Amino acid sequence: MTIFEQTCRCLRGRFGLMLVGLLCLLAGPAWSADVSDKVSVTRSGLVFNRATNTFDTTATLKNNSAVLISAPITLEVANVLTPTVTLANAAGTNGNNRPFVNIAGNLAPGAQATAVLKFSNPQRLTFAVATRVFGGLPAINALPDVVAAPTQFLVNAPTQVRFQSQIPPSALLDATSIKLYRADNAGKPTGPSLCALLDNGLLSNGDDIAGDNVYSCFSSFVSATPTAVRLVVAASIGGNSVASSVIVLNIVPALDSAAAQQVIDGQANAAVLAQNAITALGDTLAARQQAVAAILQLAGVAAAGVSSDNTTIWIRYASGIEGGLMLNPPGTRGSTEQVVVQGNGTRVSRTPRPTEAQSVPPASFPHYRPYSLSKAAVSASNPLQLAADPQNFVGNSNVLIWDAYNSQFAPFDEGPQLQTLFTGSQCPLYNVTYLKDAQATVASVKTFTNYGTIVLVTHGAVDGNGQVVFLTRETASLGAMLGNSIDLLLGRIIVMGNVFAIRPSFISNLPGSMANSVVYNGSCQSSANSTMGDAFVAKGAKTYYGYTRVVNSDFAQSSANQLFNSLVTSLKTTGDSFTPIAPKVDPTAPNATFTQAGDTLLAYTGDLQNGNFEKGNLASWTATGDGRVITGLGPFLPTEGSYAGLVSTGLGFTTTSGSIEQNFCLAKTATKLKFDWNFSSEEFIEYCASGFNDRFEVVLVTDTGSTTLFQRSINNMCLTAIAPTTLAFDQSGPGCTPSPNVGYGTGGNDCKVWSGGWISQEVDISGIAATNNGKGVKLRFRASDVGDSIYDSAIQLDRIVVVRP
Amino acid sequence: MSRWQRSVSGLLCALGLWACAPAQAGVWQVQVDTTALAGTSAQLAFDLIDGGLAANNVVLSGFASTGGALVSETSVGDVSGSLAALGSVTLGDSGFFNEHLVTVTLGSSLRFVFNASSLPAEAGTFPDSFSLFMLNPATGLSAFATSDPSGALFTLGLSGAPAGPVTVFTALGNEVQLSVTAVPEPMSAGLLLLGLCALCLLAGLRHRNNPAPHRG
Repeated sequence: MTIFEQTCRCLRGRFGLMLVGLLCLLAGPAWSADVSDKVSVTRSGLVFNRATNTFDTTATLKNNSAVLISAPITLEVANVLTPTVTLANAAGTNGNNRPFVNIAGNLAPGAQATAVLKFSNPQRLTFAVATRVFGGLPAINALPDVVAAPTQFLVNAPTQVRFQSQIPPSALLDATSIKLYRADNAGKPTGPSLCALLDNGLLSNGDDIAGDNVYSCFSSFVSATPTAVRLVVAASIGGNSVASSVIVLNIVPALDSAAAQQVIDGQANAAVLAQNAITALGDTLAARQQAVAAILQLAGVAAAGVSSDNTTIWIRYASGIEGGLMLNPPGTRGSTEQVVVQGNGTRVSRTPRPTEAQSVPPASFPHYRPYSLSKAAVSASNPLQLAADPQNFVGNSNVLIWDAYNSQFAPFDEGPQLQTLFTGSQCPLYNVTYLKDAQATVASVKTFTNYGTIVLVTHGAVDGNGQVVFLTRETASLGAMLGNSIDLLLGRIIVMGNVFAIRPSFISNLPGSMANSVVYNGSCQSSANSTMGDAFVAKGAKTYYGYTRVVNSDFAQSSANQLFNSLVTSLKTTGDSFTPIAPKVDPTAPNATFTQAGDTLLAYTGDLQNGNFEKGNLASWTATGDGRVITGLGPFLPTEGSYAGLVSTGLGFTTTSGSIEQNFCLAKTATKLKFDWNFSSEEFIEYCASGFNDRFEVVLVTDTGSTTLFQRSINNMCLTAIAPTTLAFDQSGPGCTPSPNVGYGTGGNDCKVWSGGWISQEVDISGIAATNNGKGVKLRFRASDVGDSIYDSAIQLDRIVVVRP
Repeated sequence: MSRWQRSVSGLLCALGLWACAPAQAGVWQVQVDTTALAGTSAQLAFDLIDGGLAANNVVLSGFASTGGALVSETSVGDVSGSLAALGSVTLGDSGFFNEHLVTVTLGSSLRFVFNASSLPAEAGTFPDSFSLFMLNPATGLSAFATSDPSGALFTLGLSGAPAGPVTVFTALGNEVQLSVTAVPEPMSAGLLLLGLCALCLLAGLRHRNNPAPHRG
């Protein structure tokens, strides 16, 4: 009988059909996972054991979770800084070469167990350790989702794709077995591996940082025909092969200029035909049907029809591109006159797309929660009906007001008023981005995942596939058509009138994820069905507001103002803010209803959030350059839980110095800012007392200016206790040959990253808090590169808290 | 209440208020019955081991032996003072391992007092730890086995808690009997004194309001 079977028998015997036993029944054998977030570890003081010449401590483990953690349980002990101190009674080492001791038996919820740790410390140096607990949890059937870039490209264009997977450390994980495969129809790996994902810090392998538990590889793809390549990452965990969910690469045909021009001409001609029919037959269904019959005769049109809303005409072109005409009543957010007003598209230059950045920002990984609903289960059900997450705060203070048709809607446009509302708030403090008219492009939609609040003021409709779409203000010119050809051919955007419209699949395929966002979609028919709301929620939004039918601007303006006044001014929940809105039905035909879907307990907060990064991502923080969340950096584990933040001068593919910042309301009675930090750099020794002086700063920005609360640099860290580590950055590591002489001016390189180790810092902020009087402030942790970006520095961060009585 | 009585009450109140000041330290009295080992030589090892950033110290004092004698003292690390010459020894934690070794000829018992600060450990570190061993001077190892695997007689984690925890271990062969008693903290003593003070004042007021009847 296996340990798993013993565990399950025990559980079923004791608890009947309780959840844990049910998990055992469903999930199969247990695997060893990092359960540090479930088990607290306290250590007694060290005692000198003269018989063994060791310094002994008793570690007490307590299972604080409601889940049984089954044997084998191991306590991993990583010496943080002092290399001469070793664990003398290690039972073995795990895949990361960190020693561990075994803990006897299982850990039931609330139960405790102890283990003696014996440290050999011949030099009798003060030392610190970080511990992690691994234990059996019900089987995990899938690895974390894989992040790939790019995920869509053209036929006959050889393309190198970078794959990354953030896999939590596990004593049972065979780190050499993590490989990319093609997936069969069942999502199982098939055929030979395409590449091995490694956490080696080699850019040639696609890996940013060695030892951060992010495994990466490159693989090249080319196809002469359009296809969807289905891939999975699989690895051996405890001898079992476990795979990720399928990731799909779309290889699409190139859109040639003639086909694109055919769509542009077709859209313009179709608009004329529709207008003629409405003139002849009135604004009726019959007029639309007559127009469709004429549109079907246009060159390049493969199919056309009237949408289920009996208002919109949809068109499918032979090239595979989809288009349509919004023919909503005048004065609403979707009328013909408003949408087609810009002409044939050839005279309006599109907004320049961002140039390809030289620096590749770190990937945002999905929070790996193996015991939550699978993605398939979520999409199979209605995501809007999911239970509210216990974390009910809007994920960050970034607000996007995406006001695509201000020039048409004003003065009945909620955009400017909401901008005033958000920017006028002193607590909480918001970072407001207001994109108006031509700024509302397809490219700007790709930034939606940066925002905790998204206000869409635009036109919308239901397309020929029954999906809710909303319009950009980007004209579908020839250049823009070719630039957006992949998304057009994948059907993620369509041409509506003479502008691009966004489909739900475009939202659900945005890179990254939204941070508990609240989304207000003030376009016509934005909640005619749940397709658009589902896409936003699947992407991480929490609450979605929309209109069931074609909506009049004055009603939309009134509804939005009431909603956000309550959310922002009173900090009420989404549900409590929505309930008193009156009227909820547009008094003017066609009488759209203002609706709410998703989490009704979401609210804005002025408190510092995610200071320990245990959300597994930078939720509530805004990163610039290299700011990321990691599960470890070589021997340096998070000081709390499973995650820590990191800012660097540009590790791996990220070449720009990083910062993370967050707005919060600084209470008048706040006394201290506390945080743990660990400064590691390959500039140490070689560049002590030089101009190459990388820096770590903590800055607090108030409405009267900014104050540097804390600062450390290479030069002043060189004078303190730093020690060489096993870390490898760009100019260190396995491929580096140490120079005989090292020191500033010698030109030598010791090929090592040195570190100051984790330090718990307290900074007195009582004076600033008293004068700030409770208003919102911005807290920023920043790494800066002085001199050049060749030798890197990185600062880990954890347990950031503001202390107040 | 006489002027003398009022002065004593006032003094007690002042002492009480002084003693009520917040304290981070704990004071313990240790008594070791060494009858079974009387006449033998032993080393008492007082170890203060640094666990991290918190700067704690332990002050030993009041060392006395019944029927025995203190022979010599040596120390390692951040240790100052002398039990024999100065009456007290202070162990600090500026280094990792700080030890005061006292060689004694055991009598029927010995006793001492120690006063330990108690600042908590920072993340990733250990609590500072104070422990006592009785060693065989010839081997440098524990003179006898105790219920602690390392042979300690007691350990105290300086974990931020004002009263310990002190863990007392037993000699497996009953070689010694150990008693560690917490001395009431200044705050507790202060409250006691304040109570006495209040009683005195109350008695004085009652005396003034209800004078004894004249006898004739």
